[in-house]
Amino acid sequence: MAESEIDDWYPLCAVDALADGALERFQANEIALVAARVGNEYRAFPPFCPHMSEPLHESGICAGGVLTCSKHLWQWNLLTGAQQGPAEKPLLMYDTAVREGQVWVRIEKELAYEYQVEDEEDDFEW
Amino acid sequence: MSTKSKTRKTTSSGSESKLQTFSASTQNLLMNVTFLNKQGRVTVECREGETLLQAGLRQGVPLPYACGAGVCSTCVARAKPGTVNNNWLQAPGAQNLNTVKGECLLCQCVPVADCEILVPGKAALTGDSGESPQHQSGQLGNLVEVAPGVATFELELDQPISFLAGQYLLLRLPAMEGYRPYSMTSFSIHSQKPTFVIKCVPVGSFSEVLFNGSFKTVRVDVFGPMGKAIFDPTEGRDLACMVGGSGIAGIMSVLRQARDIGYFSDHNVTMVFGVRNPEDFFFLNELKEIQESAPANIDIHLAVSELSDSNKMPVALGGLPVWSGFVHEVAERVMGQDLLGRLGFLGGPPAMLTGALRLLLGAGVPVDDIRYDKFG
Repeated sequence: MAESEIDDWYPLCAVDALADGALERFQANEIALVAARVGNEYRAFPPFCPHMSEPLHESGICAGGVLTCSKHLWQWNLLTGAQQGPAEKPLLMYDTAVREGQVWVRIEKELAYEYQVEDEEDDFEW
Repeated sequence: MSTKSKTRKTTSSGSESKLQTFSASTQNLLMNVTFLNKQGRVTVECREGETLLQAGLRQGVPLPYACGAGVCSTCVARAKPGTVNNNWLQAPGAQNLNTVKGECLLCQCVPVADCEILVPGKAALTGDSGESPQHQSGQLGNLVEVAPGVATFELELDQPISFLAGQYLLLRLPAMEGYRPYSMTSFSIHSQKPTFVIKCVPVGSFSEVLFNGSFKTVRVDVFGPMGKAIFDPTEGRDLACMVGGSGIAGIMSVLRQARDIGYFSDHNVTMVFGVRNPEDFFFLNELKEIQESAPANIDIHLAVSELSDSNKMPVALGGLPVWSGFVHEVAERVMGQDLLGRLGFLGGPPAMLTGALRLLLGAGVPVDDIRYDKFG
């Protein structure tokens, strides 16, 4: 695969540029994201916490395959994005792959969270 | 109406007499505030000048919060634009709010009319919080500088309070835009003179009044007790305490209660207290005294992070061992793999908290076992 867009796949970094347990912020196709490594698995997700939009490359802590945002201790399984503990929303994930020593990320469109307080099903309108 | 409706009775007999910080002219002005979410709704009375969070908590509504002082953003909610006033526009926790959608901080907003407040999250607002913080006032006193730029002080309250070790009070001076949280360093079941520790900061109006001596003539608005980073002796757990600078405050209260009830005869604590330079330490006599109450089960270490001349590093201070490094580094050295199963109590600046959190989470300590206030 060349160093350019092929079916929405973009190169992120060399596999050994990301330490196990580290969180790094990247730009791919002009979209900001955060990448993490769990053993030999790589994951990429939007750069802000789905709770209150803390920048995860600063507030996030990776330990034992779990991502914790230190702001309010929301947690996710880093391999699946599933929420755990006090978290109320899953972590959105981009597809990733490792090819020829490079970590690649697939970006069909930018993933983002809805942050406004839920009100759709309430009788609370103005 | 599709959601369950409930109005909380707010006759406030018992709490009315404690409201001494609001002027007589405003005490009779009440507004109805309805907190609602998908789980239900509850209506409480809010006194003029009282924040939405204070009104709710005072009447037992389990509203989300983690500081009550505009820092942590935990209490973000939505109000119809124009129905609330924001006391502190520059609050650190209010900088990412979508005000067009009516987002606000419950801890910084006061209603200007009867209003409805949409509270996010899954908590049932109709439950009982188990907390009953109240308003009152007090007089600052007995300021003692215990280290460069750090002082202890007393607050003589008009009414005694009951609080749990690790809790804090919100304090506000007349000129301040909002309340600031201060953890009690003392512990007693009914306390009328709790003690605190404060770090002097250059632009802090509270520390300015304290350190320039004008506190002797100033009354302080008080709201509390508050805080969930508490010590519950019935949990029967060993403790790991990591604290930096004035962040030691609430942990002093925890240690004092634990010592007083003989907790350390059956359970142990390892604690690391860090500062930048050796001369910045304080509470060393108190810590040594606590340590000597159960020396086999109380292990207290001191950490110094910025000493440039390693030859000047003392081996011990006040009879407690001194190490070079950040709090979490020293904690890893002295506790190693012995963290799992302990309750973690943390206090200190954000960088210290992040390091300590990383250590505890990396050791597999679940977040429910980690307690700290999110002031920073």
